[in-house]
Amino acid sequence: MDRREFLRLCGLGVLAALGLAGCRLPRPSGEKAAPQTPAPYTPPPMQAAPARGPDLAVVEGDNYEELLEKGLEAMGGIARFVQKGNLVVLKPNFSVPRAPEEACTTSPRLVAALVKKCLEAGAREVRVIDHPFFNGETCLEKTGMRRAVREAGGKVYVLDALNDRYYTRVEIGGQALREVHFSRDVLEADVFINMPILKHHVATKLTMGLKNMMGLVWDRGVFHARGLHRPIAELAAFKKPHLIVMDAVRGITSNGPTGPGPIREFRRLILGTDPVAVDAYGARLFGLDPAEIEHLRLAAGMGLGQMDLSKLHTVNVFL
Amino acid sequence: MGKKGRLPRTQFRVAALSFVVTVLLFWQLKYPLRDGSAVLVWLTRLDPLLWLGRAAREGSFPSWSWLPLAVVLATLLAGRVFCGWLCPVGGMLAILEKAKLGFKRPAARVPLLEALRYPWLALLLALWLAGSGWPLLLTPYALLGHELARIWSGRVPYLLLVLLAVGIIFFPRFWCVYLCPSGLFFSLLGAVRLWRFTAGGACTGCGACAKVCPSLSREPCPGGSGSQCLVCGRCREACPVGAVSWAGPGGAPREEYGLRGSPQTRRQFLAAAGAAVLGLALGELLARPAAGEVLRPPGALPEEEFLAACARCGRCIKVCPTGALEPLPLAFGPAAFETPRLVPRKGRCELCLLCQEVCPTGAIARVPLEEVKIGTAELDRRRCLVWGEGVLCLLCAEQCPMGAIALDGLGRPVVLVERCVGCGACENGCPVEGAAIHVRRRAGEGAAARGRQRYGWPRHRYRGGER
Repeated sequence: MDRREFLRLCGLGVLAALGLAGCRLPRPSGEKAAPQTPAPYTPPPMQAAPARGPDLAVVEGDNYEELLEKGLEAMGGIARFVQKGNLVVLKPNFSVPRAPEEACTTSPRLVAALVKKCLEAGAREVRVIDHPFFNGETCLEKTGMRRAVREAGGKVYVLDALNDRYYTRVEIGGQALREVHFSRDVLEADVFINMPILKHHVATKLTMGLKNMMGLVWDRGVFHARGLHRPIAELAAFKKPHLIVMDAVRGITSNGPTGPGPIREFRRLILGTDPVAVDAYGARLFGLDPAEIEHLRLAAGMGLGQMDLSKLHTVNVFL
Repeated sequence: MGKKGRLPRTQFRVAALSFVVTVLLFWQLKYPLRDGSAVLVWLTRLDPLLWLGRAAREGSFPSWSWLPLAVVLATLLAGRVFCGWLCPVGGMLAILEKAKLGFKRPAARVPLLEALRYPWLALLLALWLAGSGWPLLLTPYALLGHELARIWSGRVPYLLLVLLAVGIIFFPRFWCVYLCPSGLFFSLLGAVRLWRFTAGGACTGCGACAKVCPSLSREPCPGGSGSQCLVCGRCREACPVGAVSWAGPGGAPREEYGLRGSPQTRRQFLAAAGAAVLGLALGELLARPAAGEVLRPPGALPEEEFLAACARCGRCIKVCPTGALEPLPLAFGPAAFETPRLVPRKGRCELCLLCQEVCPTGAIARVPLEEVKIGTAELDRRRCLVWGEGVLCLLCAEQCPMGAIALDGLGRPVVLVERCVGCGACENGCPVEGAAIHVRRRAGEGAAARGRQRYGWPRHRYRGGER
């Protein structure tokens, strides 16, 4: 080993030591490093934001636009549910060809107001859908839904044909319901808002949010053949809306769901994120014990929501 | 040429427009109905045969009688103006002729058929008087609608194929000259017309006019097509010496073929009389009600009157928003073949009553909803899920628009016969294979019978009802 070789080895040794030591050095703090290595961009969550607000908001009055304005405010604002660029799907009940005054269908004024709210909140598109059991054209026309939604800037149509555009075959895996053709719009939506009307129903006593979900299914004969209540509860477990806005301003109290029937003024708009709680409030408002509605009892038993209204954080607003 | 050539061009344009407009208006027959449907109704009123049929059946003249009367008057004065200028089927044939789609022009008409024209008309009129609506189907508006409805619903438009086939084999306007009942009726009226195309002294008998005549003039002169003349003016345009003119009363020789002053007249009359007898006999056969139970659209006249009044024009089938109406198959007898029936399993009646609005003959009468009675739902308790298995189904009760399904003490569905209008919502939705509830038409129950019984409508207004 000559002198030159010794020096080179020493130099390598020093470099190696420095290198090893460098691995142990404390990492530079984030604040300092940020300008040099920016953190990867994560987009804001597309799904509805986690609950920030009450479970239930009940607004009393009869001006639909005002009811919705105050109701959404009480729930924490539309921004709690709809973010910029979202695809929003609304499911009102316009299953029967009756004029809005006949109180058998969700108010088109209310639906139009919510369409506007969603668009204002930055929604990319708002679709309003139903699978009426009457003819779709007559329903769209006579309920005034087509005109109202189009004027508000949304799209409105009926799921009146079994095709890939409207329906997707989904596993429900329940006792009564194994698989059904379910609305593709709802499955693809960023935000799904259920908009039932509170009214009488000859078979299930009342039709509200959970029953309204049947309007997203093509093959409903099996619901009837299996006794309605259990299939309804199992469907509710399959898909939970991000928000429920129930039109309980006016509704028929018998001859439901098709009507015409005697109309009662409930003068309420019920908003909530808990599908069982909203329906339970509706049942109380109608004058029934929520437990009398079997699909509600089944759904609560399946852990889909709270049927005991005293356990909920409710905001009441009176106009 | 210049000015003279304008008439055939205008005639072609008007006729072609009439065809296009009629087709577009027919296509617009859907829920919700637009103003165009009223235009279609008014166009259809131009046909005096449909008008006469309605007036005879109802025993009174409708308020719009001036329109078909104006057409009749025009025909008496100037011949088949309607056929040449306004008829949509004529317009279609004119377009096809212009486009030269396979049409050829043999030199002569068909002599055998020449003698059979009026006997054929007599046969159709007798058949119709005997209570069959079949002849009405051959009138232009009904024919076109019927074929369009068949195309729309994916069925074979067989009459259209026949019409085109005879046009290709013989000559384009074969249908108009030999088969169309409205056209033959106009020919009959037009025989006495005052204005017509005639050849003057300068005529050289060259036959140029006969070559261009759409109804195939039999003689080398403009009078050769007789009262079949479609008033198109092509003969005047084609005449090399300008001998053809549109001449008024007194200005023209009266030569007619086949009707006046012709040796054929008596033979034709006898043939026509024979055909009429045959028509009446056939009518007895063809006016029999449908074999088997048939549900009719809401407001339909009682069965016999319905068969006599319905022109099978297909408008109700086209307009029905649920597609619940279909033409009756031949299995139900020749009389009722092609008339509309309601099939609840295919679609429920939405009680929108648009079929009443679009019906051009009044076979589906304009009856308010309270008076509609299509039939009555009958529940088969052995098959019903609620009655049989205790399942909470109640789809029928849920969907009944009349509140005609009540629940008994045990929550089982029961039909309230008085309330039921027979719309078939229950039958349509029933989840049982083949349905456990069916709409049936009871004896004496017309699609509007309920109202008539209640309000005592004058049945004598409907001739068929008395027979």
